[in-house]
Amino acid sequence: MTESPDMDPRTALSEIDRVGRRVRRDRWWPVAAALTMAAFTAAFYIGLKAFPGTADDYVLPGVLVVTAILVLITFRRRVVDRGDNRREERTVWASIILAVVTIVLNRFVVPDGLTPWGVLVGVLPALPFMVLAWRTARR
Amino acid sequence: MTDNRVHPRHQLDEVIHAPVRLSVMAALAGADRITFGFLRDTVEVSDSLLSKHIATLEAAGYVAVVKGYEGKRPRTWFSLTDQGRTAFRQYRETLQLLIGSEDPGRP
Repeated sequence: MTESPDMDPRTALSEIDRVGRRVRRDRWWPVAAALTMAAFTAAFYIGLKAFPGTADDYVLPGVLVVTAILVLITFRRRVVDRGDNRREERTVWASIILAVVTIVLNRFVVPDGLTPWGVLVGVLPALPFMVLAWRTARR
Repeated sequence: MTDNRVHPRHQLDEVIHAPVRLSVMAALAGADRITFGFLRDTVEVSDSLLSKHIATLEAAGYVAVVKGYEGKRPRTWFSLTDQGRTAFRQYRETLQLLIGSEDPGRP
């Protein structure tokens, strides 16, 4: 590309659109990060209730794998949207609050084993990450 | 030509109205911050040419440069300043005016 003082307005606008689309395509990475967190969080709480004996063995490897994936995604991330940090922070807090609700329900209400209620309650802390992924993909 | 120039083309910001700088501004307007590598690939220019145009935009107060590390890797991020966002918004509005002022029905 070179300097062109006589750039046509339509050409300029179409270039703005092209670049805008290119930037939006790179939002795949934060969506992937949010979905990874959602999958891991749901699997963690459902597994803890449904398979309490064996779930403990998978927690540490699971955390390591998810951390590795998130670090990789962070390094690959080249575009940060306005307000991303604030949205991610709010999502983590919402997930923590829902995790407390899940722990309390699992302790006192939800029957042991793999039950529909166990799955529904286990998915609760993952919901904020699903919402974050959906909202990021939609922007 | 006097100072009372009313045609929208006179309102086009000369700092932005150059292909590379326009693409840079458009990319940065769509995000909070963008890495040097992504910007270079998106605008399709060499490192040195991008640096030259970034320096122009930085001197105009439109772009902020943040250099840092992610892990041990150095990384340079660019973002638009408030002044840059305002200037780009006005630039787009001027482009729309220019297109609107073109009357296709005219002989």
